[in-house]
Order: sequence, then C-alpha cells, then structure tokens
Amino acid sequence: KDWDDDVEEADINAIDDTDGVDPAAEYAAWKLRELKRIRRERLAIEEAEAEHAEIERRRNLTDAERE
Amino acid sequence: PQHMARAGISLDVERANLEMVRERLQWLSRKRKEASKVEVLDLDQRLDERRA
Amino acid sequence: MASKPVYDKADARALLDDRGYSGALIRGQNPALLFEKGVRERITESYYWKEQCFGLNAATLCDRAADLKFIGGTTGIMGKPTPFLCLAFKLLQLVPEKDIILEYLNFREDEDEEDEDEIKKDDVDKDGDGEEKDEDTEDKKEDLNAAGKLGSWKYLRCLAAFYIRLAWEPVEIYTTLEPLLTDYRKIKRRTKDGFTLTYVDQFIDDLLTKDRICATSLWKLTPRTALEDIDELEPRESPLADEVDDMEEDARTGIETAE
Repeated sequence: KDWDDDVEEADINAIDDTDGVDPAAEYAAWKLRELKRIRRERLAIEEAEAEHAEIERRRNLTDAERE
Repeated sequence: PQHMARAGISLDVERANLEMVRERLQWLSRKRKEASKVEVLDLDQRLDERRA
Repeated sequence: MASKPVYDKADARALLDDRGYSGALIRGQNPALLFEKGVRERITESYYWKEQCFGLNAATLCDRAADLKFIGGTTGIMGKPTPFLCLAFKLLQLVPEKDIILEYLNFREDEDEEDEDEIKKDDVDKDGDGEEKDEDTEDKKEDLNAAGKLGSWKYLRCLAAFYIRLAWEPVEIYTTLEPLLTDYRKIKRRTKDGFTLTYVDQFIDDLLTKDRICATSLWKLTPRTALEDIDELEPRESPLADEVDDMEEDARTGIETAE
C-alpha cells in the first residue's frame, strides 16, 4: 500500500467517523451548525437590502441636497 | 503506458453507463453488509468461547 | 447519447495534452485545468494515481471510492495528493453523465429484511432510488438526507459533491447540493498535518461558500441572492426556518416586555 504509507494509524484512528453512536448529540451539533448558516444567510439578505436602500436614497436626493 | 500499449494492453476502457454504476454500488453494498455480519458472528463466537 | 464515445482513456495523457485535447469541455475548457498545475503534476506522479486510478471507468471507480477513509487535498511538505483528490481528478477525466454523478450522490442501498418494520413506520417511498422528488411532497415526508439513507457511501457522496461544485452550473449546484445540508454524518478530513472531524453538511456548506477547498480554487459561484432576484432560484427553506422565526419572535417580544 504505497499510496498511503505516510498515514499514521494513530493519527487516522484518533478521529472516529462512526455515525449513530450518540444520535441526540449528533443531531444537536448539526442543529447548531444549521442555525449559524441561517443566521449568516439572513444577515447577508439584510446587508443587501440595506445597500439597495442606500442606493435608492442617494438617487432620490436632489442636486441641491447633494451639495 | 507506452510500454503497455506495446505489450498489447489496451489504453481504452469501456465507458460505464448508469446501469453498470448502479449494479456496482449494489454489489459493493452487499459486500459491506456481509463483511459486517461476519464481524458480528466472530464477536458472538468469541463471547461463546469465553463463556464455555 | 449516440455521439458519446464508448471508450474512455485508461491514462491521463490525452487529458494533459494541452494542444491535442479533444474530450468533453467543462465551463468551456479542458476539465483538467480546474486543478492547479502543480497539483495536477503531483497527482499524475503519485503511486495512487498510477496504480489505483489507471483504467477506471465510472463503475469501477466506485470500488476505489468505497475504500476512501477521508477527504482532503494535499498533505505534507511534498504536497502529496489524497486518494480523494486523485479520484476527483479521475472524474474530471471521465466527465460522467449527470445521472451517474447523481447516482454517486444519492445512491440508496437496498434495505435489509430485518429493517423492514422500521421503514414501514415512516411510510417513505419505496422507489426512492436516489431520484429527485418534488419538494412539496418531500417536505411532509421523512428527510432521507437527515436520516442518512441517501448517498449510502458517504465519501463517494462527498466526491460527487466536490465534482458537481467544479463542473456544473450555479443553479444546478444549489438545487443539487443544498438538500445535503441536512446530512450530518461524520467524515474525516486530512489536513496538512493530521486529521480532523467534519460532517457532510459542513463540507457541502464549504463547497457553497468558500473559495478554496481540497487544494483547489473554486471558481466564483453566483451568489444565491442574485439568482433569486432573477427568479432562477426559490429561497432556500431550512427545516429549522420555523424554529428560527419563533426564536426571533420570542426575542422581540422579550425586548418589548422588558421596556
């Protein structure tokens, strides 16, 4: 097995990728990640909307107001 | 690969279609299940031996 | 279909021939160019590529993917490519049809007889062989991605997702990959100096939001909001969206009562 001769057994075995060991904890950890994603997406939408609003506001200013 | 071509080993591989891919995956899954069953049997056997 | 070649090349010579490349294009160019030059060279020089990837087609590639133990790009000072990266490169050479990539992504193995009762309970559709279902009906049913029932080979699933991000179009990328954000199975990821634990949903999120992953620069994906603006995409509906709304509502009323 030449291609993975540099993989240390101890290193790769330090991580366990077995699913369903503690279903409740695994679901809870996912929920936290998903909530962060939702928050991030909503923040991005709010920022985009704020930017749109700012562009609109500037467009509506008269030349005098812009002085 | 040139030496393989000279030795008559084809450098073309039959292109797989969806059917072939699906069959392959089913086969691999059966193999995986059988392997895990053997593991469980081995464990049962070892436990039995210990009890005996 | 008839115009498609019946044979694939066993090695990468045709793929790496800049002048003579005549295979399928991805995003208007030779798919090999989606990987950086140094990475391409290290892949084709690696033992894994030479001994394990030679002569694979889209079906036999599954044998190798079934043996994958981790995802990752390159490792060590020499920048050695992981098997995951080599197989991704193989996919760029094969450019499999979309239905094959979707099979990798959503393959569902036959259920054991012993597990039958469990399945009937939830009344999931029995023909669920990985095909995309109507979103509205899907909503009321069990989320097969969250149940870990789709993409039975999780590392193959990640491989297909990585390929989709590199080779498909933005709308397809979002609609195909986002349902996997509920697949929270664990995966190992090889980094420069060790292994870390991550999750399928995390890897999918990385593919959708990061500009670099697994030693590969990802081309800039059109932002989701931009595609929603031109009605190419519906807003994503997270299974937790209602819960978040409730929480925000609680937070607001909380502030009001406090005042």
